[in-house]
Amino acid sequence: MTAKTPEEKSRQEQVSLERRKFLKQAGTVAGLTLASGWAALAPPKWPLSLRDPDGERGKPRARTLHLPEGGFVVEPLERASLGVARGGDVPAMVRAAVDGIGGIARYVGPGDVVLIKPNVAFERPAVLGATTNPEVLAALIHLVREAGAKEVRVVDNPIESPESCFIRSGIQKAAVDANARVYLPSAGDFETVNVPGATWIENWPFFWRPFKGVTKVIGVSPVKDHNLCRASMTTKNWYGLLGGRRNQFHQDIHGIIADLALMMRPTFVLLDGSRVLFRSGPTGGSLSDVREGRTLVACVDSLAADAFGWDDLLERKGEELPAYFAKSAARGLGNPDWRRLPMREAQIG
Amino acid sequence: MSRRGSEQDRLFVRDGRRSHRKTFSMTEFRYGLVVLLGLGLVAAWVAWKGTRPDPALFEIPEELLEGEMPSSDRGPLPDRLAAPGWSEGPLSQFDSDNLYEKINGREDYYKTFGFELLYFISLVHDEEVATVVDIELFDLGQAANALGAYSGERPPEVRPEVGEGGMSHRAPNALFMTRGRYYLRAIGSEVTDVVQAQLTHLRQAFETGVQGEPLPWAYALFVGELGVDPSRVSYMRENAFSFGFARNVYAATLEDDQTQIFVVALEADTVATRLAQMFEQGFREYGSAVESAPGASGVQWVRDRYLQRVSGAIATGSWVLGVRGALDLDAATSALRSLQSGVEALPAEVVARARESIDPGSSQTLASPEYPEEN
Amino acid sequence: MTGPVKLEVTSASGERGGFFRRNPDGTPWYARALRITTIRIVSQAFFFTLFIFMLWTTWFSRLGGYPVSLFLELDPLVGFATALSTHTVYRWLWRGVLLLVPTLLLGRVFCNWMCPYGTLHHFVGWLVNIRGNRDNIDKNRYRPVFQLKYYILAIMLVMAAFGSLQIGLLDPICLLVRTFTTTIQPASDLASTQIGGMLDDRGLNPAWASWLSSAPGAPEQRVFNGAWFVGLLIMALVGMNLVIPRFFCRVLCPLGAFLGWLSRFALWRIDRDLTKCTDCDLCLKHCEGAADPQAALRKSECFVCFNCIDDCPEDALSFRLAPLPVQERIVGKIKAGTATLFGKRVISKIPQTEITTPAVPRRRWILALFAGILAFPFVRLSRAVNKRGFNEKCIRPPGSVEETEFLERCIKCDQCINVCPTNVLQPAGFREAGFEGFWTPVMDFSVGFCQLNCTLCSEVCPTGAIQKTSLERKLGLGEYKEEGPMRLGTAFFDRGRCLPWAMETPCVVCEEVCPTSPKAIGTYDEELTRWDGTRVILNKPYMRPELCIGCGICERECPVVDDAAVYVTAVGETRSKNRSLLLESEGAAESTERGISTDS
Repeated sequence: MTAKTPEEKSRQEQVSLERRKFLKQAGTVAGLTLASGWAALAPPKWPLSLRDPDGERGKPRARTLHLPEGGFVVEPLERASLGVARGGDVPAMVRAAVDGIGGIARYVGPGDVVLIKPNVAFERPAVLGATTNPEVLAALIHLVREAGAKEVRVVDNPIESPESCFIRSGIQKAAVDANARVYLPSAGDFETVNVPGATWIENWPFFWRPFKGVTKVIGVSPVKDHNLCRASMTTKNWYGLLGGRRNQFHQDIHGIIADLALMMRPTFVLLDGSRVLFRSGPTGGSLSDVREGRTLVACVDSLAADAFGWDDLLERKGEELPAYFAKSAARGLGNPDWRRLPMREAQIG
Repeated sequence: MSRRGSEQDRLFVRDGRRSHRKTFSMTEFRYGLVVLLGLGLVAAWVAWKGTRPDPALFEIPEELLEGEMPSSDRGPLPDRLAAPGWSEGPLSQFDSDNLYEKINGREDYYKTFGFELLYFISLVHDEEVATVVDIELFDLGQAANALGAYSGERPPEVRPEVGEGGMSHRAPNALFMTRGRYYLRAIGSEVTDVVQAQLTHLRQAFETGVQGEPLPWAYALFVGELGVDPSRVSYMRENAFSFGFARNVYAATLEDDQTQIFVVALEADTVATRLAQMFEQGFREYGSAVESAPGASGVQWVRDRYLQRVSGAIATGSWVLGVRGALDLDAATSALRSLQSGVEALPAEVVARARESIDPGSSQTLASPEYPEEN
Repeated sequence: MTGPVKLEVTSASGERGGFFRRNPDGTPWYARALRITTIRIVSQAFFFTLFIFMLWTTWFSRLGGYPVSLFLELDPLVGFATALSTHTVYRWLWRGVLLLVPTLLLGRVFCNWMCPYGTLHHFVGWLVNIRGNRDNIDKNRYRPVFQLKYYILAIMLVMAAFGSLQIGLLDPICLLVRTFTTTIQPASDLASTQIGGMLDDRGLNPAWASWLSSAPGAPEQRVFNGAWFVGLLIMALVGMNLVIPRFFCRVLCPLGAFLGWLSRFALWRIDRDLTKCTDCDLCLKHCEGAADPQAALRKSECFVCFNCIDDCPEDALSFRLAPLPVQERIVGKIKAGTATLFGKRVISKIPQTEITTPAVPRRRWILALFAGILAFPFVRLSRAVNKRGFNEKCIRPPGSVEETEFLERCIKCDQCINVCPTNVLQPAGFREAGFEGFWTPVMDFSVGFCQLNCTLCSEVCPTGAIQKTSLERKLGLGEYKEEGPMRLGTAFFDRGRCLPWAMETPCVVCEEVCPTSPKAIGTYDEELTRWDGTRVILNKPYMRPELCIGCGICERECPVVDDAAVYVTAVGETRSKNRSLLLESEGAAESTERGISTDS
């Protein structure tokens, strides 16, 4: 090899620079081709493959969740009893009713995260009886807090605008003043929940967010006449935990309520018969649709509590119970024959 | 768009707020401060407004609500009268104007005990529809009246149970009891176990559901101080011993079943003296004085001209104390003496209750000059 | 271009040596740091924030007592135009006078100190400005197209005088409220939902993201009719800043035109000292209004932003009370360079200092007038807004005044739509309300329903198109018992689509949710054998028109979701005798009685 002139040298340098540039460019082209080819053509199971030969892979995969097996039950249905309190002093009545089923300490302990489900379906003042009495809710929250609950959540998915419902019914204030957390439903709060064995709501959007970490569930519902299912009490109350196309439920309302009973196995329910919406239900709207019931009923068996409400508070004893009672009872979800249950009754004031 | 070289392109940074000005001004600075102050005022005003919402937007005034809640006024009746297996019938109320509709013929009896209202409700057995328990609850205004009405209707041979809030006794198919100002009569249609159970349930319901009251002050005197059985105490609101002037008289029948000691609390000594004189005159209408002048006890004793019993009354302070129908003078004197010492020993709290119970109207009638003529 | 252009002017040396150093003229540092343009920026930020806050708080749980429509009420064009159309000044609209005072004293200060839309354009214009100085100076020169806004104003005011209020189409406050309501706030709602979900997934409280939401507690993402068009419009208008800075403010804004016309009377203005001005044109560099401060200042175009004062290297510009017209006082010849003013040598070659009125020739004013006179019949004689052939889906919110009055008042600001808790209020498209009622509020019961105990829309309406209505009045209680409840329309059943009527399937969601007492929906109960042999009890619904208030919850909740089997139309609405349905005697109570007697 002979020594190169500086001119040659710079020419050579230029050539190698060009070559390096070319190689880089060629490498990029090859890499991009290979990567896109891989992503598009590699079999679906292979890593980084995007291939979707029949269009199934691209569909959104719904997450399906389950409520805890056995629900939030502490006391089995077989040992259900009715705790009935009558009178006008609501806080004392709540305590007496719960004492009637063994006292709050049996159901809620320190560290529990308790979800309370009132009925806040409509934006009506509480006196109209379309929603849970806020006094009852407040007293229940205090009772649960006393038992050592770590957190109390108040949850409902109303039919009308949630904020207005919670505020106008007084539920918001009662809950916040009693130091509970209120969950209003918003677009991202619903998940599909699987209810094994349910006829209609086997997989249905469920107000899931507030249920995260919950250990106990208490339903507290008013006693209401209902245009279609005839009585809306603690079992129908779980309607407010669902989202989605609830307006289809009316095509088999009794089947739906039996499904609701299957879906939610609460720690216990409190039937708020402080007022009774005895007609024009479930919305009411006139004071003449309401009478004072002066009664609270606690029970682990929502069917028994509801049947008691049917006989004693709606005063429809002798009329045939709505079909959802039999349907739910046939599934072993409770006993509508409340007279067979032990009952502790207290008169307050 | 023309560009003047890339060194002029200064996206985001630009030339900041660099100014080409050479001079600045303190006046300008002061105007600036005034503007800032104005902005602060606007913010404060907005915040102030924000805390003053129009309540009508958020709350519905209750008086605007349509309709009226059906009356749920059960009065004093406890919520749960029906025992398991029983149901309540409709509740009705009667006042002094229509009381006769319910208890024709007996209404005057209750009216003498300050009758205010009668609550009536029937309990019907769910299966045996003919089996009923009728509940009559009389509101007589005061515990003394309730006890009086109760005592007057109790057969003499029956001894009542005396509780803290009232008295009661059971018959095979009935329950009678007082709670505070209320007098309850519950009468079953038959003598069966279910009726008995319902009556027991009722007694519990009333004991827990209706506020009792301590027995009237005279019980403290007769029962507490003198050891008389409470069933022997009676209260006569009006027309005691058939004397039109005698009102608010508490009496107790002593062990001999004959001698009655009685006491009236009055608001002043003068009234008491006058009432004692009226008692004396009253007794004299049926007899004559035992002695020509009041004896050592200061009482002008009167012997009944038919039964030969001794009666008399005396004012002690603002009390009128008396004995009626004693077998002889000694018995009368000793009964009065024990009554006097009993009154002296009364605790101040009882005396105060006695004072409170005085019906001011009674002394007015007593003091009015035409009263004796009226009688 | 005249005069030397010094582009490489260095800043005052005082700024070089640290922020807190005294200025070269001896004034303290804060005279520079808090100079008037700084204060202006603070004011713009303040009012923009206040504007956003007012929109944010326009929601049931945030409303409190905040004057949420404050900007609309302060807008003097709203007050003036509704006064033209209705001959009255509604509720808080007198507040517009508060803005007239500074305008008559100082000029269009609103445009560059308070107007949130102006601030938005100003900010975006600054953000995307990558032009050099020379370009900037060129972009900020006055152009004839800036007259357009005066024609727009004139046409709109003439129409308003006839009773058709159209200022809301382009009034910057109305436009911005509408834009936030239908496009920007929903977008931030989406963000709130997403961020809330992310927080929740990490075990944090999702409520922390709810401040981002404009509609906390709304169970579903809100939707708005025609939001795409409003969004497109704002993108186009803001995007125009790339072509002409402050395009909207200079070319289109009717409020700017109104204030500009008023500014001719302003006592203060920017004044140019001819003895100092070197005609360098640097004052144009940041001139927001394109008001020609380098020559004869166009008072009606000047936004009083004070940038020219900042940019003048010769201290030739100042903001003065009633400055003297100087042209006639110049002695000597400018061209010859011998001119003097009050003994001082005139440096500037341009002797004029002021143009008071908008640069609109009189003939063109007249043309605009005729355009307005013609436009009124064009829009009003369209079928949709006429009493004959009105659209059955033109269902107005409760408290709305009768339709012709409504069109005199509604400024299409869409505040009512913003506050509506159920999302039932929607900006009207051409179908429901024609061009004249475009973007006015109508109820769409496929989206929401009118909540019984809610009168929020009537509270926030600044002009009384939706008259302030108490609950007592809406529900017909207390002293309004005689009048009865407000009806928005009447519901009808489509028996061909109704499940119990047409398909032997139980349903009656409509009866359940009907909020009146007694319910306006009754049922004929019937037991029958279906095709497959099963027995069903059908509650076949029917309407009791005397009781129906047209709230639309039945339509909203009907399971036949695409074209509901029960639907509300505008007929029977209380506000209009023309659109009533039932024969009614003067005592409305009687008709209620008739309703009750059928209810057994």
